[in-house]
Amino acid sequence: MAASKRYLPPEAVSRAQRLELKARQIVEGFLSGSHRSPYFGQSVEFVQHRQYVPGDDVRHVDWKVWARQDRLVIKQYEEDTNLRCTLLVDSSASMNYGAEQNSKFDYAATLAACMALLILKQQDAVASILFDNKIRSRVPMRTSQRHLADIIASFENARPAEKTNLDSIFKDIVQSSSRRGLMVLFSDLLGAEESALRGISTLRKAGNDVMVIHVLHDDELDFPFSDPTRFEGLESLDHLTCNPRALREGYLEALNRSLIRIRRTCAASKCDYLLVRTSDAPDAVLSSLVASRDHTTRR
Amino acid sequence: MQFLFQPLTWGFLLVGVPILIHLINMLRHRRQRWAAMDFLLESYRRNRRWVLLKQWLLLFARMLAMALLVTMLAKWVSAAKWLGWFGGQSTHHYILLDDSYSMGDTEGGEIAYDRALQAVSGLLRSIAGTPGQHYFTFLRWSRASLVSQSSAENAPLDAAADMIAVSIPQDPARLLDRVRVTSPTPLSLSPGAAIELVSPLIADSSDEQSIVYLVTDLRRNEFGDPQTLRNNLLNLTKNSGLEIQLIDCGKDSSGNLTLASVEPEKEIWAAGVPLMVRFQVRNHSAQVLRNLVVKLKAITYADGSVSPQIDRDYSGDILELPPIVIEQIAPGETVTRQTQVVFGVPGRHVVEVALPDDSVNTDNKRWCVIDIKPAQSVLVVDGELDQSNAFYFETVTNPDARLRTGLVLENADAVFLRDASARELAKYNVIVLLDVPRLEPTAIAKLEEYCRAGGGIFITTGPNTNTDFVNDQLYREGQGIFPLQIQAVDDLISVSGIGQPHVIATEHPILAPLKQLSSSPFSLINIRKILSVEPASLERPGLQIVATGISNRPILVDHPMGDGRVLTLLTGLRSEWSNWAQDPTFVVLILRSLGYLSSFRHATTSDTVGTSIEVVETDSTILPEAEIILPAKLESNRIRLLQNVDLSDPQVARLNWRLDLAEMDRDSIEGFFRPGLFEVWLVDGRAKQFVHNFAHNVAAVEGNLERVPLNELVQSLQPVPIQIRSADALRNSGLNAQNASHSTVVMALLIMLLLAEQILAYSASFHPHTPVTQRHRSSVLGSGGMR
Repeated sequence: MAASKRYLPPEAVSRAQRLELKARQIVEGFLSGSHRSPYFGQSVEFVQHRQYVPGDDVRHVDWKVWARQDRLVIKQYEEDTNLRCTLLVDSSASMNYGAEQNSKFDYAATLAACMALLILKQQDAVASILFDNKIRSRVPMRTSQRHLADIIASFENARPAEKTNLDSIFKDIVQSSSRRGLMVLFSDLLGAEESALRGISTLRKAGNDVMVIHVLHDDELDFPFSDPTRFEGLESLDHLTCNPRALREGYLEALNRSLIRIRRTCAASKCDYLLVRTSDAPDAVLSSLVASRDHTTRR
Repeated sequence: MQFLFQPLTWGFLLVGVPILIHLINMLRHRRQRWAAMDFLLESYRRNRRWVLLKQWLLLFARMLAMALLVTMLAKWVSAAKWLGWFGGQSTHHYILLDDSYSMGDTEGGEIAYDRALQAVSGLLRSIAGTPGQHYFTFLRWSRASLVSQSSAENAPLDAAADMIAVSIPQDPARLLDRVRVTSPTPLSLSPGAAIELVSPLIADSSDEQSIVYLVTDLRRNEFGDPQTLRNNLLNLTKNSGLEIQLIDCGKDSSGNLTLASVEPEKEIWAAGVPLMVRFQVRNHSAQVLRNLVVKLKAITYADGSVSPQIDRDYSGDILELPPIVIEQIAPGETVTRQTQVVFGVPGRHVVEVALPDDSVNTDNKRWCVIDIKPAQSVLVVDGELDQSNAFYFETVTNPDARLRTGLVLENADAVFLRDASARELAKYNVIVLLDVPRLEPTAIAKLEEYCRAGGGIFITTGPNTNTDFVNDQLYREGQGIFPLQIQAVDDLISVSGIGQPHVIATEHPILAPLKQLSSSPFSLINIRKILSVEPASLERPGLQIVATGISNRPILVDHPMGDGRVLTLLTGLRSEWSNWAQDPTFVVLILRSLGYLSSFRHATTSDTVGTSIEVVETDSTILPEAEIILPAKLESNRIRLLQNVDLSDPQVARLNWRLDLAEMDRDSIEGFFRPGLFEVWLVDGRAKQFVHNFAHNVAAVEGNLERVPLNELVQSLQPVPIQIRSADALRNSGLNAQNASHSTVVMALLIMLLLAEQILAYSASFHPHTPVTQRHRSSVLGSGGMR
């Protein structure tokens, strides 16, 4: 199957074309678009004055104010800009759980590709980063429609194998990113929960709009095992032979506690959070995602 | 711990099956690569102890369930008292069946024993139909009696009982088959032995309800000793929960005649000598019986001319004797009659006496065995030098060549007694001491030994009698062969009265026939001198006076010594002492005295049924295999058994055939108890067969069919709580056994355990829950999710 078909199911593409993703906050852009920019530039809509400081371009000095009030102020205008969206896709070993071509990584890649398409359709810029404990693949920010193929190719070439370390990865990303934008994280957040939560906070503190898409497999949410099973860790050497029925209740309780902690952390950091299961249809997830962003933007 | 079905106890190995399944499950687990190990390990850490505990409890419950299942199927029969607290007490039914020969009573056209069997059958069927666990022990009184006699201490119940603690199935047909093959025995029995035999088992089974059933016809001879029976029953009822039921299967009898005894007179048992055989008939009915015909047979077993014949009633030659008619027998009366038989040849001959059939036939026939010798040897020691005393004896015992008395006299002097060995003396049936003045101490000792061994001694006194010697050596303070202490020689000429007989016979059997005569036959006897005796010595134990004289002085005295007897004539045979030797009654006196004295060495003429048979032969050339022919069952041939002869002693060959319940088959045991003639055939070194006959007769007392009234019995057994039931009522109705079995308790425990196991398994999440993942599903898309 071609990579574009694999990660862009037709029904998702169709829906993406009808949707419009709007940034909730003012983002920094370099193209004029429907998104307001935090930068003051050459626009027609005046916003405010500010005190002149040495180094400011004297062309922006409002001479009329100087004439009337004898003080130097700079005239500032609001400027519309495009969306800069970075898709952060977790390609650690734990994302490899699931049937072939239906793993969590496959599902996350599908969602990411759909979002990329959606953003590109809006003439906005999108980048993608695949990571585990290192950044494994980085596709730069572009607005070209052909840029989607690069993103999908990076997903196709990914080989989830290593542990996750979100904290250090996100620090690197923040340091290497010169502008703020929308950071969409696709991850199962397993393995190092504390590190993941710190990483999300790091992204948010850098001024980015952060959206966390928490991808979990149905098995991880339902734990449907019944026969005696030897569980072997995907990201660790831990193993456990047990009767799954006996541990199911405790497992679900521990999972639930973890989900609550993640949700609270995201809420505290003013990050968007969405828990999705691999059996959910990607177009439905996209629809839900955009609808919820519309709702929060209007609010 | 005991189980009725022991082979099923192998099923306890199934206890290991749950462990095996657990181990197999541990090995056959599947592998699963898993991302959310942290949550799984956290769950494991939090629940590990509880999960392990549940798993162990579950494993233990399953193992216990298997054990209980096997316990239930294998029928656990022994339990502790705690089972009773759960209502699981079982009931043990002890049926003690009277199989004495009175149970063969055919009153009312039905045998009492059959009524008893039908009652037992009804009882078993009703018990089988009653819920609960029931055990059955079946013991016949005869077996209990025999085992008790064979080993008085700790008689084993399992050797006697037909069935012990057998579980009663729903269909007790097979048990009843084993009960129905039994039949009344010819024994006279009482319930004591059976009760004593089951007592230890009842005492050891205090955890179960015990019911003792005495199935009997309630004859007075069996329950005539209520004191002993009451004590036995009281001992039984010490155990709590014991119930005694008396099942009456008898009916009032219209009457029964019993042949009480058949025995030869104590006379001279010699070939060709007429012998009187006496028999007694007892009327146990309540009416006078008239013109009763008694049939007699004389069966001759001539040495060397008879061979074993199993297809005939007897191997010997049968001679029908003229029947004897008893004109009348009053109720409860015992009539004695006698008949004369003559066996012309030596041998162990038999006399059979038979009564006509009545309600109980077992006691209508009797037999006696008479060991006829060619002659009886008599040793005569005369104190007179001219042997004048011996002359009278010679005249009496050998009056004419044509007349045969069966006595052979040998004369000897006192020195012979001193020198003869005990074996030589033993050849003589009687030793006669005729006015012997003195004997050597050695001779006295040999005579005493001879007498103690069963020999007879006849002593006459006279002018040679030395009073001091007699008192010191022969009387010896009542320890010697002389019966009395002599005071003096009394001269009776001056004291004899006119017309007063000098000899008066007592009831002693020697002169009894003469006493029955209308006029005294002793009127011509004149006793001139007699030894007067110390009156105190007349109190000697066992001493009997055969004849007295003037002033009631003892003339002829009989006293026992060991197994033998001594007859002492306290007067002389010579004319200056008396003229009795010239009187015709002297012939009767001598012949009967010698016959009487010789009889104590005879073998018994009959035994009670069930007596062991013992043959001792001093011939070392006897072949090691003997043949025993048992009395015939009705309308069938006699049974022939082979028996080994014990030849370990080179001097003596022994054959001992005794009851061995463990070794003997059923036919042999039945034959052992059968009344009749047992022929033991031996073969000597010259290949000559010879026979030892043994007559076994039933106990006459059992023929008394009088029943104990129920109210009298209950009264006499107070305070024993006894319940009396009728056999007829039990045929179609039963008892209500109410207790549940151990198996029922075990099953209840098993069910409870399985329920607990299910709850435990459910609790341990071994059964899947209803899926509860909806909350996660709704949190994904339903709630909008963001922030």
